[in-house]
Amino acid sequence: MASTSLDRKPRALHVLDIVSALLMAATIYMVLFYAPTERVMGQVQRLFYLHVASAWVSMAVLILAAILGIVYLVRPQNKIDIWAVACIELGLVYAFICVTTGAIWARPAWNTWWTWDPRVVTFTILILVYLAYMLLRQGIEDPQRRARFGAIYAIMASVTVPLTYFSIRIWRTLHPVVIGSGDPSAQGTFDMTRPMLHTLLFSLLAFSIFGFTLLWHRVRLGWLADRVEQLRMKALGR
Amino acid sequence: MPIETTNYMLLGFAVAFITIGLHLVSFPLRTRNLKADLQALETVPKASAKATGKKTVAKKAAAKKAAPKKAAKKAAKKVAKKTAKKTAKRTARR
Repeated sequence: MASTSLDRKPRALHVLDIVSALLMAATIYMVLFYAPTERVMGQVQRLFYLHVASAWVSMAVLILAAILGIVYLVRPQNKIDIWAVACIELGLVYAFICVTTGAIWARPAWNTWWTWDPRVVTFTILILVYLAYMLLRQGIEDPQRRARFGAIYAIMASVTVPLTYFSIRIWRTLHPVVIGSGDPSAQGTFDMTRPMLHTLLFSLLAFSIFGFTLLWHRVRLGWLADRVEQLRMKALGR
Repeated sequence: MPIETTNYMLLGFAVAFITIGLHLVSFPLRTRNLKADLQALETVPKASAKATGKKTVAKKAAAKKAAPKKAAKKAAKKVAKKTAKKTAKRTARR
């Protein structure tokens, strides 16, 4: 990658930065002032909008990383590996937000910070699996081997994503079913008023755009890291 | 009447936005570190080349890039000389 493309931030990214900042500000406003207070749980229910949106983004980018892994195995290119790593890092950050907001919500709602609920356990396993990916990558020096290992690992680890999503339908659980709550296999239903639904949809959109912006920034960082690594290899005469 | 859970909501918001904030702050920090590494790595071969008297990879690449430009300049000079000679001859005949 040429130094000019690394140093100069694209205009589209500038626009995305501004748009995502505005969308996130609007989301906070909608969550705090537009969405009504839930009758039983009270104010803590407002965390639901951040919780669901962060879960959506983390699962989407982790699935994208698996797809990129397949693409890498078919056509090995360094830039695909850089995108995949960026996806997994972003997925981890959002998954952490999802689990922590869930635990904070569970304290007044379920009277505990942690419970061995299938959804909570599978999501935690997902985080641990992808954390292991980040740690194991650090241990491989050869870039091509590392990228190939990363691609295979991302494909295998992606099994945890559908497992987490469907865990509330497969096993008996306390966790409410938000998407498709009318399904007879769903254990708990979740009814929303119109302003609640608007806020949820808006936060999903805002988090998705913000997530894409972060992904782009992370990929640019990956390009720079790749250039440094190439120079280091050259300096070492490998 | 809903139960009082404002503190939990605030805690949740704080955790979420601090996490996002830390991730955001890490970008310029990591970029700065990588750029420092890049600069250091670019100066290492130059320093070693000075010591050994050999051309660096960067210098070689620059020379390669400059080679066609030099050739084009030479050709342009030749053409300019020829046209100057021709015009001088024409004026002499007149």
